[in-house]
Amino acid sequence: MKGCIFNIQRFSIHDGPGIRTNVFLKGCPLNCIWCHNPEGLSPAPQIKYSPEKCIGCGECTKVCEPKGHKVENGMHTLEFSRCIACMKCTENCPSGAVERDGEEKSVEDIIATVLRDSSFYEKSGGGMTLSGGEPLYQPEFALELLKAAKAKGIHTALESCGMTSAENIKKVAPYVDLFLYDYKATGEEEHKRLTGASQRQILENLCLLEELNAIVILRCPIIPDVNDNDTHYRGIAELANKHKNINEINIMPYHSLGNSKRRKLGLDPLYEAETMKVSRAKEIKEAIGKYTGKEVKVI
Amino acid sequence: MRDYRSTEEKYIYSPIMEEVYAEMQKRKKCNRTREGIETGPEPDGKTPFFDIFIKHREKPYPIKLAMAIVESWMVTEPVMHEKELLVGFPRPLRPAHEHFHIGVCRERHILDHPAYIDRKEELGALMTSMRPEFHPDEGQAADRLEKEFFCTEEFPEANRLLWGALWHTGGYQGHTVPNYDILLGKGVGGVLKEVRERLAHETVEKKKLMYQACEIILQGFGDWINYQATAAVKRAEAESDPLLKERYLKAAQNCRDIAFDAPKTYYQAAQLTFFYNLWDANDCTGRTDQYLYPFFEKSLKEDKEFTEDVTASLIMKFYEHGVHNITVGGIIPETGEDGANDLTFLMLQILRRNHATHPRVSIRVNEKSDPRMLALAVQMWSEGMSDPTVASDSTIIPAFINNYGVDPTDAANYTLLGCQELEIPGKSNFGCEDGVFNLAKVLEYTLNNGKDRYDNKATLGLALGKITDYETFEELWSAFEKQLAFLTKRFCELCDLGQQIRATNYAKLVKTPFTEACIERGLNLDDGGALYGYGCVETAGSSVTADSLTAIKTLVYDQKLISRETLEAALAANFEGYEKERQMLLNRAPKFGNDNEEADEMAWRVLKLFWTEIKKYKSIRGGEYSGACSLLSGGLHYGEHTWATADGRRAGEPLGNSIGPRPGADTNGLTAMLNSVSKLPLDLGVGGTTCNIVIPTATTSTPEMRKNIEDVIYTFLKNGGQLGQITTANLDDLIDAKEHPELHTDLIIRIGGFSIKFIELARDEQDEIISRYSA
Repeated sequence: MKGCIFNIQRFSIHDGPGIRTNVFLKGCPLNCIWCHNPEGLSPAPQIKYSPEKCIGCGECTKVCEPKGHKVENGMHTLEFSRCIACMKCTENCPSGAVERDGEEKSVEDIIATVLRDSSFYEKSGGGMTLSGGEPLYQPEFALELLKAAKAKGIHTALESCGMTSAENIKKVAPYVDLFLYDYKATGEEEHKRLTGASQRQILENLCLLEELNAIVILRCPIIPDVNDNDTHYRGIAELANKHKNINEINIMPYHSLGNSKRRKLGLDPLYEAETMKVSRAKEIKEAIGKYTGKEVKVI
Repeated sequence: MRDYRSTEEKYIYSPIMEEVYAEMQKRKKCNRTREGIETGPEPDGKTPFFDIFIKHREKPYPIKLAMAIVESWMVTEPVMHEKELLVGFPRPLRPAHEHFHIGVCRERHILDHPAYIDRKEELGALMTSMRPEFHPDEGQAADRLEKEFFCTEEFPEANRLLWGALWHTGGYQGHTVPNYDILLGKGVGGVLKEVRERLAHETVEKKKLMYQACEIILQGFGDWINYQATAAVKRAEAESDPLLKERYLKAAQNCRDIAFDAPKTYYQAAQLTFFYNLWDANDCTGRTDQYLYPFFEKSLKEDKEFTEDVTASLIMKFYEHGVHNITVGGIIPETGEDGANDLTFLMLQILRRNHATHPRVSIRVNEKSDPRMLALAVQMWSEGMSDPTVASDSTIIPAFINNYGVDPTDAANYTLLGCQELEIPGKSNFGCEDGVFNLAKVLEYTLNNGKDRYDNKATLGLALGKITDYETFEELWSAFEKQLAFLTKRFCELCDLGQQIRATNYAKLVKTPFTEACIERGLNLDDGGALYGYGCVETAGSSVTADSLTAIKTLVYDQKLISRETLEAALAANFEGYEKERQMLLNRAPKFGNDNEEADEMAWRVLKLFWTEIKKYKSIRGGEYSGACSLLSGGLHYGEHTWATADGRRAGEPLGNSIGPRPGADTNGLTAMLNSVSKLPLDLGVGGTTCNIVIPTATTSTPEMRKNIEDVIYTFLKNGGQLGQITTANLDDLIDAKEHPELHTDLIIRIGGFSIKFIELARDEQDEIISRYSA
């Protein structure tokens, strides 16, 4: 079975216990304004352009049928709207300025890569983390990856925004050792405004995970002037207090690198702010800690 | 300190030791050129080496050398610093002194010091005229060097092109660890007795001379130790504090007791260890936590506080004396159990407390190691130290046994020394190092018909053709093999010449009686006296060479995306006008360090080829040459003299970083890089192969993160990694990396959901990261 991924990141140490390999699946049902992995938004392979790597050689123009790439006076320009994702330019670009973002890969290939670090997992209690995008946007593929990993005795974590059917949650839960579950906004309207979708299903799925006795870490992106407020701090704490299967809260302070990635994909930023300082993140951690006895960490 | 094995608790000096350390730092000044870290007294205007060599002109060289070494110490005023426990201080720098790499070393610059300036002309002239007396073999070897190797009429410039570009041999050598078990077990007198017995029955003139020289050294060493008591007595006489007075008197008695007899207490053993290091200018102290442990263990039971003070004193003296390398932990040869003990941890804690660049420390890790040792190491890295270096017992011990015929008990006793080399302490002389060899230059000659691209006139290698002449990749590989074999042979011959110089010059005379088999064989340490005499060759440019070959194979021969003619033109032009091709070479072929089978196999092939080739030759000391790859700044230096390479590297840019990938070539995460390194034929690299690992300080900020780092390093060592050197990068490094990206190519930062090379970020992105870590 094949699915579309945009990265396999080895030596990941922030997304579950121990040393891990993160597999990033493409496609996401939400559209969070701060999205830090915008290459995971679209489910299909696309091109990514890094102007600083471009040497203006024009190799891309030779193969681009819809004439999206242009080089004039050594200056390269790219019209993303013309791109038909044929990927020919990425194969011809010598410098990696135009790169393929997203690739169809088989479960076997991915697991083979994941297994290369199995000795590191063994000692550290690490394993594989599925991330994205939203891994459950490709539910069957995610399920097969998780099954294959479990068959090899590898610890699995699933990073999810929770926006998927209860059916999907039930299917994958037996093969997931740890859910890293996003909580992005407090209040239905706020959630819709920031992510473009209702929160109802997400909260229901969290209840479902409790019923299934799944272990959950709540992951909370904190975005300046957006959800960086006391109402949300309380909301986070209350949600964690409500579910006995949530044993930890992770604060994920905003950084602006998502926007530079958006530009590389031809997407305009939806939100702009300065990267949050570590010292500020620590204050937020303290603030949330006041409302809950559960452990709060800054990631 | 309650628990030496704790990472929470920190070692605190006793008030007296605190004062001693502060004083020591105040008087620390540079009087030596090598690393600028050694301390000694002001120059005193004395000239013992000239005096002895002139007065005893008729005597044979080794006798004069031995007498001069003794004289140089006896004319030096004994020193004991206030409140210290250990007696002794280095000699002042003088116009001539013994040196482990050459025999007698002359220091012309010292003549400008006020102590010598009045005699500058006279001494300067002596320095020149006495050259043949100080270096009995130097002229002869230099002649051979010139005739046999490069400076033929055709290529007067060849020397310049080869030296420091293709290789460097016979230059800086000499780190080797003496046998502290002999020193502490037999005492100076015990060894002297053996030498005298041998001398009495020896008939071979050369051996007799060797024994006579050793006898002079040992008798002189014992007399000198006895003489050092006067410094402690002087302190005692001037002291009113009864506690200190008693300590000084004890120190004085120690000197008398250990002058010829073996030490009985920890205090005495530490004193003798330090005296030895002073006398031998010895900078690598081997498995210090092992040979001192029996003394330490007893002492700790009797008086914990004093035992800690003695340990602290010894470490401080090592610091002051510029000791390079201490090794702790690792298998005990006799039992097969791990040897990490209370002294291991106490030494690490003291070094952690000092947070100094010297002495460096290495830990030996194995499956039986107390995990708290590696945990303490991670703690030290997280606090900003680059010590300790980690070494893998499971990789190193079998390599010594299987490939270099080392006895299993001896192999289990290996130590680190020098920068990051390996040897069998007290039983070997592997010429650390015999030479440096740049593989990237060999490929340069192979692709350019035996010529150096910096000067196309001279044919320095074999003229086998150019890149355009090789029809297939295997043809190119075969030419590379021939070229390498040819140059390796010459290289090893040159290494031999360097050894010849040292052997004839008795370069390591003081260490000779303290190294196993020298006395038995009647040979000095550089003349094949040591039990193991294998050689050590530092390897430069291995990853660049491998990546270049992979790129040529992939893009030129397999995919035919670049023609041989274009590659030749691009290389010749240092890629000017060929940026497209350079980018392809950089980006379109796999690179070593990413756990990619193809690229890693090429790196394996290259190293296997070279290290098998050097193993065909024996050093004149008696053992084969072994591979090493621990060049710390060598990658920069050799890079400066290496032309553009087919991996996309421009002329002059750095070569690889020790055994690791070329800076910036690894993009697949730390575990992938470590897997790549573990695959290399490190069992032939018993000279020492260091993998440099840079991790951001933030990655070590919590106990969980530190545990992860610990697990990564442990797994690397268990999987076949050999040596690892870990550095953490902090905010200052990030700021510096923005200005000097070329120096921080391996700096990886983790933010939000991904890891990225810091230098690959745009400037504004870098600022964002920096702002996150700023207060």
